[in-house]
Amino acid sequence: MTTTWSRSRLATGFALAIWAASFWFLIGADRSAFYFSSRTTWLAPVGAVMLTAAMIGRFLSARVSRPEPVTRRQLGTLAVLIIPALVITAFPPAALGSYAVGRRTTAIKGAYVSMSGDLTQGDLSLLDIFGLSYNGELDQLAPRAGSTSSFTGFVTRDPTDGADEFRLNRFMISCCPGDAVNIQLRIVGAPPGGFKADDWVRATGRIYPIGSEVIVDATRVQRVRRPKHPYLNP
Amino acid sequence: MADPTILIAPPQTEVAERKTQWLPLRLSLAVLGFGLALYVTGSLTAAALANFRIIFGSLLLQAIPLVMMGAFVAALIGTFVPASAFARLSRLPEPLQIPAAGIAGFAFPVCECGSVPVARRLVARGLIPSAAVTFMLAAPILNPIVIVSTSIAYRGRDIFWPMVLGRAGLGFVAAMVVGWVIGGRAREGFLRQVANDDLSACGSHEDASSCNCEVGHDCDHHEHEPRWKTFCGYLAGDFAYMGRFLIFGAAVAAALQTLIPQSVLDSVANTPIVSLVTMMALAFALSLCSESDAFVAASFVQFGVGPQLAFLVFGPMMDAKLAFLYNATFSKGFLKTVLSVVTVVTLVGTLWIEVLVG
Repeated sequence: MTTTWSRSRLATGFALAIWAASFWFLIGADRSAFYFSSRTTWLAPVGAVMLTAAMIGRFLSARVSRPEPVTRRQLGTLAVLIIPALVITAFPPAALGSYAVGRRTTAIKGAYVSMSGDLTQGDLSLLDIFGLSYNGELDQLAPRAGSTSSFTGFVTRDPTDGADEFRLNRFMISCCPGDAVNIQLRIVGAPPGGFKADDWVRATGRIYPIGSEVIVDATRVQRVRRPKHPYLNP
Repeated sequence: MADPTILIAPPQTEVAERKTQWLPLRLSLAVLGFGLALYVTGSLTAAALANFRIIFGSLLLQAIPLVMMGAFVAALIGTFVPASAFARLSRLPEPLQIPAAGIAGFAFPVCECGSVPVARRLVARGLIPSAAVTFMLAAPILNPIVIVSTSIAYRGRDIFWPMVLGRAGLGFVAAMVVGWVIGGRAREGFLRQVANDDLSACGSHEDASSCNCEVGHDCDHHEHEPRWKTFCGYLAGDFAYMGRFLIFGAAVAAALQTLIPQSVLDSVANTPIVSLVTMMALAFALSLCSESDAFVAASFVQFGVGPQLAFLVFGPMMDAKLAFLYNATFSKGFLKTVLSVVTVVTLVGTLWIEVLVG
């Protein structure tokens, strides 16, 4: 019996190949941290392997006894399937920034269990501060008032900020940037006009929990490169 | 065993089929039109686009591996588990068939698109309609892949257990209630006849080769192939079929998070009943696959346990694509029955859980 290539199956195999390549590219280019949290990063290799296996299977089974042309509807479906994969891989990796700070809620419900551990000594982290803030326990930081800590994040400005002030932000993700929650500190005593929105900085200074926010009286603010892992994971 | 030919009502589904087939294209056009409107009004800035791209991409990349895992298991079932395995349910006493069908959802990881043709096959094979419908509604929520994906999405959050157990429990209850309501219906005329090229009747697959339908329509368009080829057809077909809905759902979720001011979402999220109805409406519109919808639900952090549960319980039982599939598969009135019962059960159940969890 003579067989021929099924265009329909080849087309589906092609879509699978594009997606498989996207996952392998994410892994190879070390871009996983832009899309996955440490808890879900295993999905990238799983996706790559499964899509590759499905692609191979589809190509191996693409010889058929009767022609199977590609319909216009299938072409439309293929376009819908392929375009997102191309968009993900074609653009340079980006992390949520100042635009997202203005769009993401601060009214978090059912969010995260407290990440704060022993706060009486050692370095304070942004996760510690978020854990306390989320549970309404910022007053536990009172004994640490005036102690020095360092924090890394990106800059945003609030209309109420003075010339030597800005907000230091860092997103925390549980599974992916889709569920990102912003952690924000107010930095005072920074060089006026030295930093613009979305600049990544490391701010070192004395911390003061006041009301519902934490203020850092900066002794040193330096511009840094965006971290390899731009998001924090609880 | 019942004769399949007497179970099927005359063909009246062409319009519904066409609606189902062109739905993704229409939705894509709607998205494009929406984007164009934003561009014209100046809302489409580079920052907004970058924000959209990040959220859209991340939701997709989380969900696709889980969709493939589900498709893999469903393909194993579709290829290697004979339809007679399902038909054993029909030998149970009728009162036991509904709970047994619901529990069977744990064992058969089919998503909502795949469960419709399975339910159709079950009815045609002699299972009472109420049990088949219970299985159809329970399987997409109770199956292991969905439980795992929900666990991954909510891992580390203090609402982890309410979400995972609440979803499974409420989904099971809702499926049983619909089954009991459907209970009195006769098998005769319960199913509509489906045309040869209908995707939903072919296990929701793009390729005719992957169809293993045995009743309800002529399979003369299928060539008999080795099982491994059928398996590959299922896998690729599920990817193509569910992928487009997933892409649309992720796009809408990303657009909402990019464009809607947080004050609007916050005010909706803080209004008790409105927040539940909003998330149910969103689940209906997005038509996400149950194997990946938890990631989208988890991204709406403003909403509490109740509304997020409403999204996760209502969506797999009733969404835009399912409405077309139900209409094309079952007799007149079925869609209204499922819609009304699932809506009431989801509302009452999620309200109760919201009160319970606080």
